[in-house]
Parts: sequence; C-alpha cells; structure tokens
Amino acid sequence: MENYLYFRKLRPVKATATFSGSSNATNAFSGVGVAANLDNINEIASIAVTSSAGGGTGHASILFETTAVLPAPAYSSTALAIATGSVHYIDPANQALSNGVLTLDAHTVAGGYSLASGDTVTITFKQGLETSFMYPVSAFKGLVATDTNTTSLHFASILGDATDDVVTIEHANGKFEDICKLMNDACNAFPKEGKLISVIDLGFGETNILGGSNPASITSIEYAPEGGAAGMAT
Amino acid sequence: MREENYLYFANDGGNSADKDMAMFPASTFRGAVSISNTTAEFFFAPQDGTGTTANGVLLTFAAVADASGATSSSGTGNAHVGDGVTRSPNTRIVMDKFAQLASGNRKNTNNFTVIKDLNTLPANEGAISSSGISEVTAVAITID
Repeated sequence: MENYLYFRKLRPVKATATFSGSSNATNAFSGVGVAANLDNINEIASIAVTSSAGGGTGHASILFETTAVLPAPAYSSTALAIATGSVHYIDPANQALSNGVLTLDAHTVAGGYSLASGDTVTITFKQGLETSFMYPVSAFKGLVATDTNTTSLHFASILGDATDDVVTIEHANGKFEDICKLMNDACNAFPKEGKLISVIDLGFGETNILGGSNPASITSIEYAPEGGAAGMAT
Repeated sequence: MREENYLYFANDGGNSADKDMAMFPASTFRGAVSISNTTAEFFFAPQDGTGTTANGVLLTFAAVADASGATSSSGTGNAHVGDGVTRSPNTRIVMDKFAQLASGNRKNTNNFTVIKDLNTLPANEGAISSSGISEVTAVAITID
C-alpha cells in the first residue's frame, strides 16, 4: 500500500497592494510566496478597491456596496459613487493576474475600474488552479538543496514528460536535515494501510507541517508542475 | 501474483458513449491537482502505452459556502467577501477519500474499487458495490 503526499501553497485569506500610478496595475502583492508564481486569476475570489482620495473611475456595472456580505458577489449595476474610503467590488473574471500583479480593465470596459494613485486593492483568495496537489509516494524522486534556505522536492511528471515536477520549499537557513526528516516521515508513515499525508499546508492563514511543529521554519512552497498552468487541465 | 487495486470511474451517461467509463490500476496514478474551487483532476499513466500524454479524470464537487457569513463576528462588507469559498474543504476531502480507496488492501476481494459511479444504467447494471465518493457530482474522463 502507498501513502499520498498532499501539499497546499502559501495563500493568505487576503492580501493588499497599493496602486502607484502605472498602467492600471497594482504593485505586487506580498505575503503570497514568490510573487512571480501568482498567476492564476481563478485563485481570486474577490477584488475590492478602496479609494484613497475619491479619485478613480469605475464602469457602471461594478458593484458599489460597503456593507454587503458577499460569498458570491452579484456584479450587477448599482449607483456608483467613488469617494474617499469607498469600497468597490469588481469581478475577478474581468481582470488579469500575472507575476503577483493585478491589472484591472479600465473603467471604459464593462466591469473595469481605473485606479487613482494611492488606491488600495484587496484580494481574497480561494482554492484555484494548482493551489493544492498530491502525489503518490512512488512518484517522489528525491530532494536537493538549492541555496541556503531552499530545498527542492522532485516528483515524476504528473503529465509524463521528462521534466520533473518540482516543489520548492523556503525555510530557515541550513534546515535541510529537517526537510529530509519531514519527507522521510511523510513517505514512511502508515506503511501498511496507506493514507493521504498532509505534508505542508500553508493555505489561507494556516501553517500545518505534517500535523506537528515546524522545526525547519518553512515559510512558503512553490509548485512548478511540468505541464504548467496551461497544460494541467486536460 | 501481484496484487492490484483497480479504480473505476463512470460519468452520468449511460455507459453508451466513448469515455463514459474508465478503470485504471492504482499503480498508474501519477498525482492530482486542484483546478478550481470546485474541481480537481486526477492523472494516470496513459492507457495507450506511449507514456507521454497523461489520462485525466476531472472530478467536480461543491464549493462550500459560508452560510453564517451574515452574522459572523469578523465583520461585514470587505471583511466577508469570498468567505466560505476560500478554503474549499472539499478539495482535500475528495483527495483524502481517493487516497483511502486507492490504497485499500485488496487482498481476498474479487471486485474493483469504485471511485465514483454516476452512470444511469438500469438498477441491476449500475454501481457494482458503491457509488463512490459522495462529494463528487460530476466525472469527466480524458484519454487522448
């Protein structure tokens, strides 16, 4: 029988970035791991723009609502009045996310919002493409230290090409032995019956490392499947 | 003889069309990835033997909403946008149940393992031993 190794990326509940005034794109969001790997817009449940000084312009179709509870926002037209501190919710489906930077459609486009300098944009995360993943232990090929605080786990490609899928772990300096022990314990737990082993779960404000402490002080994991985001969905 | 656990998937068709049903040896499972907050895809070594194009089974489940959001203590408005859809617990639940079924000990059994059976066959030809993982609402099989 075999264990299955489960991982979930570092994703906070929310993250906020400001707009400094270029191309209607926010500054890079922080606290999300490596910003360059934050590319999947379907990991974003909602986008809220808080006006800094009443500037900015929104398309009439965006939602203006300051007190709504919105698990499933209805992006219907309501009165649009941008004022200092006002919050507007815009549909993530209309926006673009690349390298940790959110670029909004302009207000001339349905669902768009033209930002003003100093505006803040808050995103709420949800489960999306490659947020979490699992591999059978038999797919684990080994691990290697790549710099003083980084270890890469190699798995056989999920799609079957020659390039490994790589899970990159950021941890405290020199904590390689703790990563080795973590993987040894995860792979060899429950050898007779086999189970799903939650190895590293950093999703939505949680830090769960194999159900116990975090001696390696793991701070984030990045995931680079061989197929990449575009190749994953068949 | 080597023991093997065979994993059965069937969509909500009538097992009358291409890829309405598929079965894979558990040993050919390569891994699974979340695709959205309502889907995860499970990949297997291809049945055509080329090894280059994975076979995939996309399982759909519900995004769990936060029914108590309106009265939650964490506030209203911006504090609540996206509540309840973020953690999507069903992703892990489905992966966990798959792991349990795929790693089950098949010794002294003579049947295969139903991961999910949604087919609409007559009762006597429907799910053989189980309908499978209860959270799964749709199955899509890709075999190139």
